[in-house]
Parts: sequence; structure tokens; C-alpha cells
Amino acid sequence: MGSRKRPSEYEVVSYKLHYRTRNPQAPYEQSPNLRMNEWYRKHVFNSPLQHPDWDAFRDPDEVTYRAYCTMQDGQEQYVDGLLNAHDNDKHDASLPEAWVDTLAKIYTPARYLLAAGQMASAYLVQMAPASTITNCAVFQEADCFRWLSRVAYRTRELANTYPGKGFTENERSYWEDAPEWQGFRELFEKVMATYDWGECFVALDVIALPTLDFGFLQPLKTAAQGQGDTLTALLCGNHARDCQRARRWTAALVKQSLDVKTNEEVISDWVAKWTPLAENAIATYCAGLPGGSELATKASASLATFKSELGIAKD
Amino acid sequence: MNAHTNLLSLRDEDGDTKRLFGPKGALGFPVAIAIDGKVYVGGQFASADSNIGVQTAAAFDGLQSALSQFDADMSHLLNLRTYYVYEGDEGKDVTDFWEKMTQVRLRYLADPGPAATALRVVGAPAPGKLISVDGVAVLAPGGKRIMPEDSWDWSIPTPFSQGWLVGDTIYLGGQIAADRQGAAVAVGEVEEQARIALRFIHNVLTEGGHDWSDLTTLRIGYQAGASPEEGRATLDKILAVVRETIPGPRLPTLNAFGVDLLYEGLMLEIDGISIKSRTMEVVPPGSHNWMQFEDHPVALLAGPELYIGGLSAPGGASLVAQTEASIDRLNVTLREAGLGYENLVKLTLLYAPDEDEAVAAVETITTALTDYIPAPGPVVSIVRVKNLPFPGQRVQLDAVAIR
Repeated sequence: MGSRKRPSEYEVVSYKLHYRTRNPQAPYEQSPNLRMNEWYRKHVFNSPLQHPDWDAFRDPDEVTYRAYCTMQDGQEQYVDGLLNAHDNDKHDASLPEAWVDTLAKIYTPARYLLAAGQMASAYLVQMAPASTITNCAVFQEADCFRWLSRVAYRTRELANTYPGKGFTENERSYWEDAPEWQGFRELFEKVMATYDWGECFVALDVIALPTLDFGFLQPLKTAAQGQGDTLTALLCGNHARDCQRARRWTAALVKQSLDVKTNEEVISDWVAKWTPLAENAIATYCAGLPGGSELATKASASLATFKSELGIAKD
Repeated sequence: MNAHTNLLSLRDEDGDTKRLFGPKGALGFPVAIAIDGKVYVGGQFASADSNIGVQTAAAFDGLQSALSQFDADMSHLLNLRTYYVYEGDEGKDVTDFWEKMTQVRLRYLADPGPAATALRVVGAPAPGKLISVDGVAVLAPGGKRIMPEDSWDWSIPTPFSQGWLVGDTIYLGGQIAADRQGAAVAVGEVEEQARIALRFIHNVLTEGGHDWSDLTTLRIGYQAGASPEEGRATLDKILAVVRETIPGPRLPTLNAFGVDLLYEGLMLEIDGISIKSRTMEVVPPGSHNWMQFEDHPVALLAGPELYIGGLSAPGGASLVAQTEASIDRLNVTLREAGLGYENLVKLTLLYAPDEDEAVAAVETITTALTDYIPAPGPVVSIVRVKNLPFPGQRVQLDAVAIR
């Protein structure tokens, strides 16, 4: 009775699919001096983060392309239902005016934040030393795009209801200039300029994306609930599911990395380097929300808890 | 019969229980599978469309015939599930219809009879087929019939049972909020009806020496209403009562679907299976991401048996895509328990198609099942229900597998 002895669908479509890890001198074939080969050797093969068998990594959720499409089809149907139901109920028109102004400043500009998360994930896709890691980053990239699209959709809806509030017009200037966003902007832009694959992974998945959840989604959700904005709160709640999945594979990859003793200090140093940026992002963003100080404290505590669960000593 | 009882307890070199398959039925799967002293019978329905009396007789002839493959008869049948289609007027007329159908059923049933559930659906398996029956028979003697004093009763005399205790398992018949004459109580009050039905379930459990923590599966047929959203609102009220009634953390697997109910004013019917030896939850990889009832386990192991709750892959995808994705999740669940498709013994698939998918729906589903599940496969019941709980959901399946 043998099918249980066969590799799973996840194994078949995910394991050891990269050709770029076969030749340490010329990951992308051709001359070893090719710019791409030099780049990959420097930022992957010579990364401070080393493991003898990155291909041993497995996504704890075993997400495949098919599984991803199926599960997100269900989630998107749910979100469609939320949007339709709240549209039918004239939800946006019932929001307090001061909260609408807050949404214009601290919610709809988030599509820039999510675009940064998408681009940083895409870099990880291109650099990761095992296809099982690449796949996780691919789905993370898709998650960011999913929510970038939803924020854009909500921006249009809010613009339709409140044509004079600057929705669709002011998002970029808020992202670039509003103090609330400058912490997140610095954090994510620096992640995007981090080329070592290991540091990029730690900066993005151990620090930046969890900060996006704890320091942006959760405070926004709480504040929205306090303002009677159930739609924003429910959307944040659904978005958080994707973040939880990202943290599960992140934890698995950190755990595997810690098999190699020297990686403990490497990761701890990177965490120590990136944590102040995360704390600043939390503090500046939450300052723009009602009850911001309490929300920021809670967000920082959640980030600290996540880091401690990873078994990373230094902070 | 006794020879089979002994034979069916044998295990092969992998530790898998030996199983015997009945002949292939109308859906392309075995009409019955005998394993570990039990006979699982798949959905039996009439081959030709005709009136409810003729179709009921044909379905029960099929049930008898399936049992006879393993020297069993209706006296061994301890669990019976009836799905029937009624398209006439509501209210008293549907009760009259059920009573006429049951007059035919009574000709076949043993006394005492099985713990039974009867649900009004849209197609059994497809519109035109007015009744489908499946069940579980237990070959070994010694089962204890459970008929708590604090319970409801049927509107006509029947030999049905509220529950059967066999070994460490209780098969619960469908519990409703009705009085001793089969009339609905707490009419229109869904939460109160849920409390009453759960009280009756608890009475069956305690009379069999079980408690909530032993409850392994829970199936809720809820009033579907005029739309999936209306049905879901009713279900949410029922689930709130379930949460306040059944103390965690050991919760059963859950299967819920929108139907119409037998007696006028009823909003729900609940049945299930309770097993003392339920041991551990099975958490398939990726199941955190599935749209499901999050408090309830995807599947539970009970000794060599695996009970899988309502699996689905809701969304905007077509009937065939959702069927395939649901089967894939079934596979992941089986694998996590160290089992495979070949261990399946019973599979029930509920579907609620879009209109353009409805005509060929049963063929679409059986084709998908046979594409994925190697022959001979489990016994299968396919039932079209009015609606399902999640947005866009077209398919829901539950299953039993045995190592």
C-alpha cells in the first residue's frame, strides 16, 4: 500500500530545482567573471550565513503553486465578500471625518510600503540558495502584491466617497514626507539596498515584515475598531494571516540556520543592527494613531516575542 | 458472518487492516467495504427516476444487497443516513412526505433500528434521484441501544434509535429540537434549538459512558435560508452555542451544510460519532491557511481510524477545480496521518454547484474522484445540498480512513 512512501507533491515540485547552485564558480554558466556570477558568488556563496545543505529546508506549510492559488482563492473570495457587504451598507460614508483624514494619511499610502515588501521579496527569490526557500519568497512576494492591490482598491473606493480628501492624489507625498511613514520607509528602503542574501533574509523576514504586521497592521486594526471602521479592521485581520505564514517559514529557516554554530552570532548581529530601525518604524507610525503610545508598546513587545521564539540571543 | 468477523480483524505485513470490497456501484466505487468487523455502505439510490415510494424501496434494496455481500443484514445496521429530495409545498406537507417515505423504510428496518439522520437535500445524488441512503453495519454482536428518557421522538412510531454504543464508539442519530410527538420546539429560535439538540446529544453520550471530550465528529445540517449568506448567519448562531456548550480544548471535527429540515419550524439537525479512543489531532501542513472552522481539528485519529471533517477549497474556482483541490487536501491530511488514498473506506461529498455546472455535476465529481483515488476506492456518497458555509464554496467532503 505504497503511495505514502512516494514523495509528496510538495517535494516533487519544490525540491532542488535551482541550477544556479550547481557550479560554485559560475552559478549562471558562461564565464566566472560574468557580473551576475560575481554577484551571486559574493552575496550568496560567500555570505556570512552558511549551511552545508540549504536544500534540506522545507516550508512547514508545504505551499506549492497549486496550493497557494487554492488557498488565496478562498481568501480573496472572503475579501470580495467583505468589500461588497460593506459597500452595500454604505460603510465608508458612515466613517467619522477625522478618521477619514487619518486613513488618507496612514492607510492608503501603505501601497508604497507593500510595493517595497514585494520588491525586497523578489530579490530574495532571485538570490536564495535553495528552491524551497525561493518558493516561500515567491509566495511572500505574491502576498505583498495581493495587499498592494487591495489597498489600491480601497483607495479608489474612499476617493469615490470623499473626493475632496486627497485619496489617489496624496499617497506618494505622505509616503515620502509624512513623519508617520519615515520609519517604515527607511527600514524598507534599506532592506532593498541589502545585497547579501542572508542579511536580506534576516532584515526582511525576521525584522521588516514582522514589523509590518506588528507595527502597522495590528495598530491600524485596533485603531480602526475604535473608530467603527470594521472593514479596515477585517482587512487587516485577513492580511495578518499571510504574515503569520511568512513567520512560520522564517522560523523554520532560522532554526535550520542555527544548526551551524557560527550562524548564531551572524544572525544575532544582523538582528541587533536592524532592530532599532524597526523600533523607529513602530514608534513613528503609531504616533499617528489614536492611543499610539500604547499601540507602539504592544507592537514592540510582539516583535521582541517573535525574536525570542527564534532563539536569537543578542538584541 | 462469524468467519468474516475474524477475518476482518487480520492485518497485513504493513499493519494495515485487511479489507474486503463489494462490487462496483452506480458511482463507480464499491457498494460496500468490510473492515475490522464493520461494513461501510456507500450511497444507494434508485437507478431510474420514479416516485418516492418506488425510489425508497430501490435504495433500501441496494442497501440490503450491499450488506449481504458480507453476510450482514439490516439487523447489523447501526448507523443510517438518509438524504431525500422534496420539491412540494413547505410546512406540514414535507412532514407528510417524510412519513410516506418512512412507511416504506419501515418495511426494511430491523427493530431496534439504527441511529438515523434524514436530511432534505436538493439531489441524491442529482435532482431526479429522490432518496439516497448509506450507513455502517457492525458484524459483532453486543451493541447497546441508547434511548435517553430526556429526548425527542418521531411523529410516527419508528424503530429508529437515538444512539448505538459498540465497543468504544457511539453512533449518534440526528438530534433535533422537537418534542415527544416530533413537533419542533423553540420555533424560529435557532440558538435555543441548538442548545436543545446539543442537550439531547449529551444525553446520548452520557448514557453510553462518554462525554464531550470523546465526541469525534459533529455534523450540522442547518436551515439553508434563501441565500448562502442567510444560511451562514444561521450557522454562526449555532456555532456560537456549540462553542459555549462543548468545552475545549478537545473539540470534534466539524462538517456543516445548508439543508431544509424535516419538521416545520426546525432550524437544524446535528449528528456525530463519539469514540473513547480518540487520541490526537492531525494538523496537515498548510492547513493554517485553509478557509475552515478554525476551532475544530481537520482530522482526528482514533486507534487505527482517521476521521476527517468537512474539507473544502472555497473560492471563485469551478466545481471541478474545487473538487480536485479538496481531494488534494484530503491527500495531504491522509499523508500527515501516515495514510494514503488506499486507506479510505468512506467518503461523503456534498456539492452546491452554480446552475451552469449542475447538469453534469455528478459526472464531474466522480471523474475527479476516480482520477485521483486509485481503484477500488472507498464507498462514496454524493449529495447535492442547498448551500455550503464559505463564500464561493461548491464542494465539501468528509471521510473515514482505516490503517
